[in-house]
Amino acid sequence: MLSADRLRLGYGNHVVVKDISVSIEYGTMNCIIGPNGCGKSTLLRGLSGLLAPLQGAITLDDKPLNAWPARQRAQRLAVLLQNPIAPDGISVEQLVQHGRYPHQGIFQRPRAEDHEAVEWALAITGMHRYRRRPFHALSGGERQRGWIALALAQQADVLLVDEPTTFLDIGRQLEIMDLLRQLNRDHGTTVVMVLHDINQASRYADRLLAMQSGALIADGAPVEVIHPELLMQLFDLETERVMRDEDGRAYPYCMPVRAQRTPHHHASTPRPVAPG
Amino acid sequence: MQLTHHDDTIELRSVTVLVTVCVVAMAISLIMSLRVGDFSLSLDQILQALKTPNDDTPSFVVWQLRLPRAVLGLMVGAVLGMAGAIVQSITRNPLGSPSLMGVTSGAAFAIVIGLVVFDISYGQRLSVGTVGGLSAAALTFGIAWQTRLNPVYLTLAGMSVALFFAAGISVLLIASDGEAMGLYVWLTGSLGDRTWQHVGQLAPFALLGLVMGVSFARALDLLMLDDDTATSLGVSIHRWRLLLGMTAVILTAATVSVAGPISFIGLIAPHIVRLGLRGDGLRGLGGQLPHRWLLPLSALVGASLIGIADLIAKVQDVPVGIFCVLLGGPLFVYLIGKQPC
Repeated sequence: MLSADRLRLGYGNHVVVKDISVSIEYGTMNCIIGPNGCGKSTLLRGLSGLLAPLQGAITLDDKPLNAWPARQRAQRLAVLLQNPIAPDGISVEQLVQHGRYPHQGIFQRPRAEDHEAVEWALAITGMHRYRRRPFHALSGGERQRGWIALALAQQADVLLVDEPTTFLDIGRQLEIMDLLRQLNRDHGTTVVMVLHDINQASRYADRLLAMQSGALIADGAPVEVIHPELLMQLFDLETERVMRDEDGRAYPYCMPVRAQRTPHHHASTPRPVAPG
Repeated sequence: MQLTHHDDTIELRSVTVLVTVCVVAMAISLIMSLRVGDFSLSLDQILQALKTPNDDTPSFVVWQLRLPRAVLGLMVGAVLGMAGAIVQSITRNPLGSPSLMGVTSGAAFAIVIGLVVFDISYGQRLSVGTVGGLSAAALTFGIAWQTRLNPVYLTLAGMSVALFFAAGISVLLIASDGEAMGLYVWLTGSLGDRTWQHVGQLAPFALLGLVMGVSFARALDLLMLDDDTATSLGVSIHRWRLLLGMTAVILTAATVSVAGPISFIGLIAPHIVRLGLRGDGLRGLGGQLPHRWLLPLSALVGASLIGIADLIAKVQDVPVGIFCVLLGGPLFVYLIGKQPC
């Protein structure tokens, strides 16, 4: 279990995430939602161990995250943030092979299990066709699948992903979301993702964590969390909610009607601008 | 075309071409440097002297005057090529090299202070140079830190630091009232009048550098990723950067202490390797050139470059460092033109 206990995160004196406590159960699909600058990406950075807490603690299996040796932690947690940079000229396969570092270290040569893990990651993401291609020559959707393949080669139990569908066309967005769901259902991967699209979050997640101004304001199944009142509070957006059904699972779907700009409201709740 | 089978074999053609060119260049420079000089020797005389050393003049010239210089030159080139490749990778900066980070001048400045003010012994040059090189590196990185080590700013900071230390050296030379003028030739980077003692002094560092560079090649490959991705994979990026950076500084200081500051070899050698392997070579290696190839090949190219440069330097009777600047300057201008600001 990945847990945050009264977690406070920020940069210097600037507090972005204010005393959030949350526990992520293994095998679940979790989605953090909220307006721009609410601290959702910062929370994900904290949960991935890339940003040290200002206060509070993050634990993985009851052991503080910063007490885990770096490579052992990377065997359990795989992270994909926004806009990662691939080295010049690197091929898809070379990039995905880096995912084996947590299991190999600097001196170990690749073993059979490393080759198998790389092949599995390439196959499940459909990237085996492009293995020899230079990474920079790929399209946006292919690159994102390449990065996911790198994370999968780590064979971690928990996958933390920040806005995996941003900048992708709608078809490629669903491709990525279906891939994440497939990993969760078929391989038991725990997924924690930040999403901008409320309806995708509602459709794909078991549990939604809604954030505003650095605090957690709603936490539960999509059917409990997604309501026009909440969306008005989060996004100043008037919506109409309908229920949709997919394979026997009902989830709320919200159609945007109009944005309500109330300057007064903004002045009363100043929003921190989180870097990144 | 669909490649479904993982193929680990390497397309060796361009690697073979590059290695062959380097070996031929080194062989030619070695033979020529044994032949030419104040006392011209024929090939027969050289072979005779190499096979059966005795007390005659050709033996003395080959074994005591020319061979140590040639061997030292190759070692200096190899060490600088390797140090340059390491610096370029840990800073992810194609303009990186020990001399452009100020390390070479910093080491030289410290050694000149040591010689002029504290009268240090020859053996102490290396440790004093290392301290100077590390201080210069710290200064450069301190200045460029706020731009998050943007390559162009890092290079500008490094060049400023290098100029600062070069000015410091000039001040010391003038203030020492002509006494230290004997250092002038050393300060331009020279391989003249070197003995086996110099070779023995550099050899452990050359060996250590090669072993470390090749064994830590995987870490360098991972450091080419962005910091967040590398950290999330469990790479201790700061520890590796520091360890590899110190290695590069010590390697550089070692060359400065035996041959004076020689610029541009560290900058050029890795680029020649990459240019030489572009095309089917890199594709065969699977895209990015892994550091387990880049480092030894940079060492090989660095050695060949110094071999050729010192041969010309010897014929023209000027210090080799000046030739390296003449060769490297234009290439540097070309590389800086390709950088985004």
